[in-house]
Parts: sequence; structure tokens; C-alpha cells
Amino acid sequence: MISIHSVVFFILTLLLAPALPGIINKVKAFFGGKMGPPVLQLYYDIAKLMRKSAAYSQTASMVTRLAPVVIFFSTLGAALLVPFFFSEACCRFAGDVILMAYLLGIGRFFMVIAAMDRGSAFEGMGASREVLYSALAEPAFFCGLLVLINETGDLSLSGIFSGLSTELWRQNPAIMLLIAVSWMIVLLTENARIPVDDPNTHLELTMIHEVMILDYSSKDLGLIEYASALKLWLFSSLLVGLTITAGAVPSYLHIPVFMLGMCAVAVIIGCVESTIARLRLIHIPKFIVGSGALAIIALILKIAGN
Amino acid sequence: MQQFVTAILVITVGGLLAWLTGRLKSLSVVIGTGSCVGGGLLALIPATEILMSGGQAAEIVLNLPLGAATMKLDAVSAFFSLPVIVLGSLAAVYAAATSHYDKHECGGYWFFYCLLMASMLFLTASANAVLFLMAWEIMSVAAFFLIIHRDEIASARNAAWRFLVASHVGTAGLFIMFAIISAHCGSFEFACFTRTPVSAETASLVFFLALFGFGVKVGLLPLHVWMPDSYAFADAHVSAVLSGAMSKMGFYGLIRVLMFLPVHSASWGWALAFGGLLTGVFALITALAQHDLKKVIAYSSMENAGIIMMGLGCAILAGIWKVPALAFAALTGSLLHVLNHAACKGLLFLGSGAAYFGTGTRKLEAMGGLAKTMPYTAMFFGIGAAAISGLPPFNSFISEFMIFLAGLQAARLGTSSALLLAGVILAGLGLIGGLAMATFSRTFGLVFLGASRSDKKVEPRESDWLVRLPMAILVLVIFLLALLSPFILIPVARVASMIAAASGVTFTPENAMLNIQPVMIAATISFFFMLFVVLVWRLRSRFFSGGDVNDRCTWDCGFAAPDARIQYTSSSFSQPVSEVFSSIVRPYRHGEKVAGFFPERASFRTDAPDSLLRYLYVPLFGLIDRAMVPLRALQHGRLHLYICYLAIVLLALLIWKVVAA
Repeated sequence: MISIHSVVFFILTLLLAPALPGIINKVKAFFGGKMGPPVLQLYYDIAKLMRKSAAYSQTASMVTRLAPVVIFFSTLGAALLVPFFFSEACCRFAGDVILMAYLLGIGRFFMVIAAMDRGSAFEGMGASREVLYSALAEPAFFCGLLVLINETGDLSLSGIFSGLSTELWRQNPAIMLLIAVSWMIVLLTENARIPVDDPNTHLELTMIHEVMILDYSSKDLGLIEYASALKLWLFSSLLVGLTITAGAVPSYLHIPVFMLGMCAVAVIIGCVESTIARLRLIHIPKFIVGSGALAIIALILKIAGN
Repeated sequence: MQQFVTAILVITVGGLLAWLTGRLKSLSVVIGTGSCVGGGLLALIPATEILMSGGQAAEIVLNLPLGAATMKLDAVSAFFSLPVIVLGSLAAVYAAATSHYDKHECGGYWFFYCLLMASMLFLTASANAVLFLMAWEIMSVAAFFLIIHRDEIASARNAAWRFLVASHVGTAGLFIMFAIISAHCGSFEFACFTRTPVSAETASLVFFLALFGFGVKVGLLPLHVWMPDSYAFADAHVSAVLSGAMSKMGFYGLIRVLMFLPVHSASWGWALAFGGLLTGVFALITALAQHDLKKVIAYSSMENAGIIMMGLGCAILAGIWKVPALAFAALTGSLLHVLNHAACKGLLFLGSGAAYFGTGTRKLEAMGGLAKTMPYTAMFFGIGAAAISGLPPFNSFISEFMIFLAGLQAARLGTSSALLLAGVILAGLGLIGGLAMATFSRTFGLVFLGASRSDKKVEPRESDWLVRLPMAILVLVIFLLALLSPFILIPVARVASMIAAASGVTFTPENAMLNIQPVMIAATISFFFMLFVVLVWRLRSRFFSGGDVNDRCTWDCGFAAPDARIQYTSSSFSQPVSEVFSSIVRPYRHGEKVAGFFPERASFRTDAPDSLLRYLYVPLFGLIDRAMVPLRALQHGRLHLYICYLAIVLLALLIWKVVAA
């Protein structure tokens, strides 16, 4: 059932995931006219964090200590189900996408309750925003997905993404473009990127994701940072699979084309982050609901086209 | 069957004895608990036997003055009696363990509790409209007396009255519905209802009357207004039974009526799917703005009813489209969700009760930090909170997964209406899931995590082992329902195929395998996920925690003396959600503004009453009240004139009879 290919690609993913934020930072540094940190910076950071010992707040309970492990394994579990390098995922079954979304969901649940565990004003603030924005992003993701299911006739992520082809883009360019844009917004929302959240902001009041992990240090922080990078990789690879499509790439070019695609997503994120400012908080829900509206338009076009 | 009836009798007689011995509190409590647990165990055996074998128990025909009435226990009844039996017995143990907190007279309370449980079992076993309505009425009245138990509180009295009115308005719909069907077949027996062909219009009328009547109990969107207050003011164990078992009787009734009507109409399916979606989203948005722990949990009952309704609607539509695999996923998913919700909701209500006994309040704004003083309750409640949000590896994930799977299959069908249905289910359940996660992470975080917001000096204490035992059993049930779900689905599928067979849809083993296989893989992955988490967490704290320090203060932007007052509160947590959905929920804002450079005192508080109550029912009932004022002249309290009214009516009827003849 599990092919050697998918296992190799899964391990490759686990190894390469932390490089993605590095590329984004390089692009941002380029726009800022700076050298920027090396692409492998996150590897060094995680390696350093893993050697340190942790400091916990006296308010923190067991939840704070348990959450990083849950976040790490939930992201890892989700990665088992996502197809990488235009190949099959390690595990495919009808409805695996639901398990993927909900595994990420339990990671988020623990992130949020851990943030509330320390009793900090700022972490609660981040938690309250995170739950709202992620809830609003769900319909956009699922609406896009069901159009793809309708196109490919398969219920598993691997089946859907191996069924996509350039033919589909030629026939329904509007629908596919709408889904791609709405998933890009979902990616930015889920991974706490500008314009929804600013990973580099210096004011706790305006953060979302970063503020929830303010109290983490050492191995805990390392696990969370790694999980965040992996999650970014997951969403980016869904976007690459949607836009480049497995049918368009001959099998011997799978690895290089996929890597180029991932770099392209990172460059786009970097460009977005360098050219637009973070939205004001009251505008963020409108932005996310907008992505849902795009996906719903795609669905309506699909229904009308039938 | 005899055993099931004996169980009902045991519980009823136990209740009566508990009432008679009300003066001797401990004896009354022991009799009440003993009869509930004993009767529950007695009823559990025939119920599981029927579920496992798929056979039917023998009928019992009662010779009532109105004519013969049948009592019968088939797979559907047995399935719906499970939450009643399990929650009823566990909540009774919990009630006994917490009875020393209650200073009220307890005999009558136990009587009505036993009566509630017995009437629900009686309801599931009655195969006759008259018996059904009798059981339904007894159930509602018993529930009313349980809710009004703390009648010294005005809000509790209001809540109970609202429940009674809503419940009777719903029952009126049921009376009309049963009258219409029995007029068609000339009998009150359910067996006769299923054989009688009715026209499409009559069938639709019957269905929508049933949806109205049973919708009141399950908390369908505009009919839910009794629910939050009643669940909030009843005791924890009563709320657990009301929400986990009594409101499920509404689904039982609805499914029975669907089985009477062989030909379904697509409009029913759409009504259920959209009704469920709106119910779920509305419930969670309102839940997020609540500050009363039990009201949050009550609104979540409504949300879960919405999910079950979406599944049922999808099953009806799939039956009409003749796609059995899709109908299987939707129907089995929603049936399984009935069990899952009962387990989670029971656990959450019992946990909220334990938190209430620990802190003396239900206000989220006055709680916090209970995880340190009540670690077991916190762990149980946390598991319940994650479970009810539909997160793996817990049980509700499995049932929501099946309904999602139905949505995915609908997307593959390709017709426009199937795509629309898939959109409603996928986008709707996605949004509901996200908001449920928000609601329960907020609730759990505010109550159990952080620092205590209370200004009382007394430390809350962990509850006794007997209080924790029912919760621990429910946690066990949650894990069993999740990890053994592929096996549990087999009897559930049997119930589902019985329901579907009534409308001519047959499930093949392939349909079942197609849907159970993914569940099996998902449950396996969830299990290994949990295993790895626990393993690595234990390893981390055992071997890789050298040099960790546990006494630092929370980072608060450089402020070195953080205390409980700077924590995020329930109002602040829900503010962004209320802002986004301000057209649906409009919290009142109270408090004094901060003014000047050295503000002396300021306060802020929000309060979010139910929008429908505020903008629909209060004005509506006010209008009815004013319109009815002239009729008060007829109601003057003079008995002899009332007798005179009776005489006039009888005379009028007599004249009408004579003239008509």
C-alpha cells in the first residue's frame, strides 16, 4: 500500500521544510536591500533551541508542556496525507483531506489553550484572533476542494492532485484561477503571513501567531517552529500541485519542477510581504471572507456550467 | 421486551419510593440512584441484544380503555434508548454524589428524575401514537419540574415556564400530525401508519408538522429559545440528561415519522440541510458571546443538533437521488453523532457542575486556573471540549468525518443540486467545526487555565471520587467510541439500513465497506497520533527536562508583575467574533468609560441575550398579550360561571349534532 517513492518524498519533505521560510526571508531581504539571514537559518535556530533547557511561567500547567508535542505530531500526521513532488502521499483514503484539516485543527486547539494557559493578556489576544481567522478560512479551503473533487472524481488528496491536468486549466481557467487565489489567501492566513499577520512585527499587540508562543523556549519552541515550517510546506505544496498540475510534468522531472514550484510560492509570499503592509485587524475578517467568496464563486460557476 | 418494561417499572417505582421516603434524605437518595442504575442495567441488556442481533423483541399489547396499544422494541428504539440508559444512570450517580450541596427537599426531585428517565424509555418502546404522546407529555412535565427545582431564583422560574410553553406549542404540532396520519389509516398503531399510503401533500404536511414539533425539543433554529436558560438553571446532572438524552428523543420522533412516510420529498432534505446549517452557525456565534459556562454548553447542544440535521437532510436527498453509498455515510454519520454528542455533552455538563461546586459560580469572568486545584475535572473537561469540537483522536471526529465523507461523495456526483448540497455540508461543517473549536478552546481556557479571576479567598477543592467516577466512565466511553468506531459502526449501520429500508433504499455491503474503510484508517491514524503524543511527551518530561525552570513569570511586554486581572476575559476573547457577526449577535455593553489621565474607576461588561428572543419572541408575545387583553373579561375566577360556560358549549354541541343529523 505504501510505495517506497512516497516514503522517500515524505522524508525529503521533513528535511527540506525549514528551508522555505529561509527563502521567503531572502526575498524580503532583497527588497529591503539587505543581505538577510542565510537560507538555512531556521535549521541553525532549531538545532540551537534543541540543546537548551526550558523556562516555564509559574502560571503554566500541564497544557503548556503537552501542547508542543501535540502541535508537532498533528502537523506530521497531516503531512502523511498530503501528496508531495507530484507523487502519492504516504497514506491515501477517501476523505483523507478531512483528517488532514482536523489534525491541523487539534494542533491549533492546543496552541490556543496553551496560549490561554499562561494567563497573559497578549497571548489571549492572539488566541482570540487565531480561532476566528482560522474558522473563517475553513469554508474557502473546502469549497475549492469540492470543485476539484467534482472535476477529478476522486475523494483522496493523492487522487485529486494526480487527476489534475493542464487540460482542466484550459477548459475552466476562471474556476481554477479563483481556487488558486482563494487557496493562496488561505495559505497566508493559516501560516500567519502578511497581510493577515506579520511574523516580524515588534509589537505584541498586533501579532497573532507569534504572540501565542511568546512564552515558549528551547525544545518546545523548536518543535513549534519546525511544525510551522512544515505546515507552510504542506499548504505550499497543495498550491503547487494545483497550479503546475501533476499531469503536466513528466515523471523524471517531478523533483526539480516541484522544487522550483515551491521556490516560486516562497518568492510570491516574499514579494507579497515586501510590497504590502499588514491589514488593520478590523479588515482581516473581510479579507478572509473574501477568499471564501472567491471559492464560492468558483463553485457557483461550476454549478452553472453543469 | 418484558425485561425492558420491568426496567421502566423499576425506575418508576423507585422514584415513587424515593418520594415517599423524602424525609430521610440519605435513604431517598439511595433508592433513587439504585433504581436508576438498576433499571438502567436491566434495560441495557435487551437493548444491546437487539442492536447486536438485529432482531426484534416480542411485542407487548396493552389493553387500555382507548383500545389496544402496542409496545415494541426494535433496533431504532434500542439505539435511541442507549443515551437514556447510560446518561440516566451515570447522572443519577453524580446526583447522589453531589446531593449534599443541595439544601432543597429531595424526594420529589428524585421522583421527577426517575419519571423523566422512565418516560424516555417508555417513549422509545411505544409503538402507538397515544402511548407515544403520553410518554412525551410525561417527559416534558417531569423535565419542567426538574428545571424549576431552584424556584427561589426568578430566572430559573422564567426558564422553566419558557420551557413548558415551548414544549407544549411543539406538542400541539405533534397532536395535529398524529391526528392527520391516524385519520388516514383509522388506527393509532405505528404498524398501521407505515402501511398507509398518503398523498404527497399530506406527507409534506405531516413532515413539517413533525419537524416543528420535534424541532422544539432538538433546538431547531427559531424554536430553540427555551434551551439555553433551561439547561443553565437546571442542575448539572439534569442538564446532562436533558441535553444528551431528552433532546435526542426529538430526533427519534423525527426518524420514526420519516419511516412512516415511504416517499420522501426533496424539499424536506433541503429544509433539514439548510436548517441544520443555520442552527449550527447561529448557535456557535451566540455561544461565543455568552458568559455563563452552562449557557455556552447549552448552545453547543443546539449546534450539534444542527450537524445531525444536516446529516439527516443529506440522507433524505441521497435516498431520493438513489445513491445508497451517500445515504449510508450521511445516515450512519448522523446516528453515530447522536451517541457521540450524548457522551461529550454529558461529560461537559457534569464537568461544569463540578466546576460550579468548586467555585460557587457559573460566570466565566470569575473563573480561571482550576486546572491546578481540580486537575481531574480539568482533564475530563478538556477531553470533552476537544471531543465536542470534532477533533481527532476523539469520538465526534468520526461521526463528523462520515458526514463530511457524504459531502465529498455528493461533490463527485456532478449534478448541480448535489454540488450545492456538497457546498452546504463541506463549507458549513468546516465553518461550524472552526467555530466550535473557538468556542471550546475559549471555554476550557477561561475556566481551567491561566490564573483565577475570582476575588474569593477560598481555594476550590477537587471533587470526591464518586463525583469524578461518572465523568471518568464518560471519558472511557468517548475513547471507546473513537477507537472502536469501525466495530461500533456495524450495529449503527444495521439501524441505518432499517431506517432507509422504510423508504425503499437498500444498503449493500459494498456501500458499507466504501464508507467504513476510510473510518478505519482515520481511526488508526488517530490512535497512533495519540500514542506518539503521549509517548514523546512522557519521554520529554522524563529524560529531556534537565535544567528546566518552572518559576518564571509570564511574559507581558516587559511588565514584571503580571496578575490575574490582566488576563484576557470572556468578553475580550469573543469581541472579534461579535464584531464580525454583529448583525446576528448584538451584545449589550455596560460600564463606565475611562476618563482623564489618572482614571479612578472604570468597568466594562458585555451581555449577549439571544437575538431571536430579543427581536422576535419578546415583541411577538407582547403583541399577543396585548391582543388578548379583552379576553380577560371571560376569565374572572368565578367558578359557577365557568360551569355555565361548560353547559353552554355542551348545549351548542348537542344542537349542532341534532341539526347535522
